[in-house]
Amino acid sequence: MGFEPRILSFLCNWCCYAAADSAGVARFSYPPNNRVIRIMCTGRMDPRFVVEAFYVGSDGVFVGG
Amino acid sequence: MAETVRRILDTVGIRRERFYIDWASAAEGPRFVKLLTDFMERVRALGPLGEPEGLSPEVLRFRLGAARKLCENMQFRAQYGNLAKEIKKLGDYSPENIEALVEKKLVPQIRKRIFEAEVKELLAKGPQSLEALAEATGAAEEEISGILKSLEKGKK
Repeated sequence: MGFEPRILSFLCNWCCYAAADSAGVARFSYPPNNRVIRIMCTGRMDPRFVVEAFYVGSDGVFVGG
Repeated sequence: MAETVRRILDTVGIRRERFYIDWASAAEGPRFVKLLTDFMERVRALGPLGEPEGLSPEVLRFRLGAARKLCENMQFRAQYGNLAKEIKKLGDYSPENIEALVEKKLVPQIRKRIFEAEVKELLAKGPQSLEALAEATGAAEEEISGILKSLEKGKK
């Protein structure tokens, strides 16, 4: 069994979150080891969120605007 | 934001490739899928957090704990906000300009505050040699001795 990374993604409500939604509706498949936190705008992102994500053990952090 | 995060990761010793920021509009479902899949593949190639970096879970937790304190520090947050204001005033949002400004204004603060928090925590456990402190924090010995001097001054 290979290594499955845990990825935390912060998605903007109006862009990537909707894109992820439409990808789901269109039945595109994408990796399941991704956990999503919806933010209302990418401008809401703060360095603190990313540090916290690594602190609690994410292997990667993706921010999608 | 992105550049500040990258600098913090550098200071902690985490590969900056683990953080990724990109854009996809609401209509670009396939692009989003591609971005996420590619990023996941890159992280998979890197391996678990700390492994390619050569950091044990304890060291990782210790260093990220210090980085967390930095992000919560009000003075640092004010400096971070002021820099954003300054960039807005200049009107130059090119990556080169942002990199140069972050390097000049924030990086010294990031390094100083993270290493200071780490040194304080290590010294609370008992006396340590300069080399041991430098090794545990990943800082240069000159940086550590500077921090020790300022801590000494603060005590008097």
